[in-house]
Order: sequence, then structure tokens, then C-alpha cells
Amino acid sequence: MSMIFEEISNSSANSLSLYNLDDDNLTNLPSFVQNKVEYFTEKKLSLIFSHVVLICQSNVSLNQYILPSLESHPYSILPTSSGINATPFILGVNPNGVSEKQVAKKASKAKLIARIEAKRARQLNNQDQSNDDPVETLSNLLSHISPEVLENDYERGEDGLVYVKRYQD
Amino acid sequence: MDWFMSNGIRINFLDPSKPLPNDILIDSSVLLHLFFPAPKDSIENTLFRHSKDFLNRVKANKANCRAVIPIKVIDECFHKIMMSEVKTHTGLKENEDNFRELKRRPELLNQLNIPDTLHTFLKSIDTIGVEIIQPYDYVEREEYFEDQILANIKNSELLAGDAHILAAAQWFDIFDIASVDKDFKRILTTGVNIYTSSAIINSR
Repeated sequence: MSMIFEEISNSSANSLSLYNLDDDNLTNLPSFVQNKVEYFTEKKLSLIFSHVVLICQSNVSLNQYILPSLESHPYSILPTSSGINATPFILGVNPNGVSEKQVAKKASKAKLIARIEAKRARQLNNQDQSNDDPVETLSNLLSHISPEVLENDYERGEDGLVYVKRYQD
Repeated sequence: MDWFMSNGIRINFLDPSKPLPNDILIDSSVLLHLFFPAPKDSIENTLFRHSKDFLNRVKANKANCRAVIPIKVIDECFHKIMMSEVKTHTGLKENEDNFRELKRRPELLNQLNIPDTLHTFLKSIDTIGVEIIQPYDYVEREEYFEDQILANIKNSELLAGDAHILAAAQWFDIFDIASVDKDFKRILTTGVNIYTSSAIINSR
């Protein structure tokens, strides 16, 4: 993990993809971060996450490894509204490797993945709360409506299949 | 990975030998074919059956496959559910007439318990394990998104809604879209793979 952050700070974006992480080296907070960064803004944090996710592809759980790791150390994660200048961490150390748009996109995806994984964890804990089959529930959503009433919502393709029409009032 | 690297391919979304990708964006068409009543004829209702089987596969694989839908898809499904419920009340067959009736009598929304139906829809989506991409998920580069929609309309000749859905996939670097809308075949040139019904793959 620490090697990744050192790599982010020192070299080009291309070399990042050479790292292949396993679970063991994700459990320690990188020494680079400990020594050189006193606080993170939310934006900086998400940028770091986005790069870690990029490198590790989908094998890393942000919630499982990275967030607890950061929380175990004496850093303040400052909200953007605190007025701290949120110059992108990655852009600052690697101005030629990653475009601003790419950084923003990766940060967006990292946040989305973190939310999905948090929801998965919650759902696993609440698994026995409902026995309803959600797919079955959805397929019965409009079953009380007779097909004749909805006939204008369907169209028959030349392939013999019936399609539900889209984009109509 | 960059966009426009090479053409995407169409993949049978029920083929057990083809695992679902880590990230997949689900188009409105899959959901519409799930909750609209299916025709009785087995050939005619193929897309309805396949869409249902696909969503069961997504549910079963949610530990390995992150499925997302843009808020645009929710908007489209909400509208179709609303109009369908209103039709049962008015008896009017033309969609335009029902739309006009709903504009004239908005109280029908609550009289017909439509918010409850929409809530059931959202809850089911959530339980299946499909995450809705929220407007705030598109951070900071607001000007990019409409530019991308415009580019998709121009380059892939998509309607605005489909162009929006593709732009969402592009923003999040998602290279796999599930759809049973034939129009999406045109986005293969952008490098996106289409997960779809074998009936669509095999048709002309």
C-alpha cells in the first residue's frame, strides 16, 4: 500500500498499473501518507481512493480495508466546506500523467463503489428481514392491468418479438 | 482505459459461460420488460422472460457484479408506471389522452395510490442490488456531461434518453450495458459491450 502512494508521488501514471496488491499489504496505512500529509480534504481522499481502485481493479473493498486504515490514524478528514484549498492531490504530484477530467471521473466512480459496497454490507446484515422476492414483486407490479388496456404500449417487431415502447406520452 | 479503443460485442446476458462483468449499467428497457405484463405467446414474450431471468442473475451475483442505473432510467420507469395506472382508471387507450387527463386532474396520482406503487418499484430495485446513480455522483465537471450526451447523439445517432444513459456509463468508465432495446446496437462502435437477449442477437 505504501509503495503505491510513493509511486503516485514520484512517477508516471503508467507505472502504477504494474502493482498487484493482495489483502495483506492493504492493512497498513502507507508511510508516505503518515509522513507527508497532515490532513485530507474530502476531495483529496476521493482522488486517492480512485487511484487505488484503478490499480487494484475490483479486488479491493474500500470500506473493508482503506477507510478503517485511514480512520485508525490521527488524520482529520476535512469537509470541502471547511475552506481548505482542495488542490487535487494526484494532479499536484503527477501533473502530466492524468487529466483533470480523468481524475474527476475516477473520483466519481470511487465514491459510487464505496456507496454500493456499504449498501451490500448493510443488506448482508439485514438479510433475514424480508422474504419477498424483489424480482417477483417487480414482475407483478402492473399485473392487475389487463393487456388490452396497455395495448398501445407494445409494438411487435419484425422478428416476432413484442417490445415495450419507450419515450412516449 | 480509454473510450473508442475498439468495438464492443453483444453478449447473451443469460449465457452461464459468460460471467457478468464487475460493473454493468442497466438500461430502462430491461426494467420495462420486467414489470409490464407479458404477452401469453411464448415467442412474443421472450424479452419479458429473458429480462426477468437476467435480473434474477444480477440479484444472485450482486456480490461480484455492481449493477447501476442512471436516474434517467428511474424517471422513464416512473412515467410509464404512472401512465399505465391512469389508463386503468380512465379507460382511454391513447397515451396522449391519458397524459392530458393526468395534467388536468393531478389528484389522480394519490387517488390511485401511484406513489405507493413507485415506492414498491424503488424498494425492489434496491433489494435486487441495483444502485441508482444520483445527480451528485457526477462531481465537478458539470459541463462535460451535456457535451457527452450531444456527442452520443451525433456519433451514435441515439435519442436523447439513450444518449444520456450511454453518457452515464462513459462517465463512470462502465464498458458493459444491459439492454433489450435494439437501438443500443449502435453504441457498439464506442467500445461498449451490450448484454442482451439471445433473441435480439439472433434476429436480423
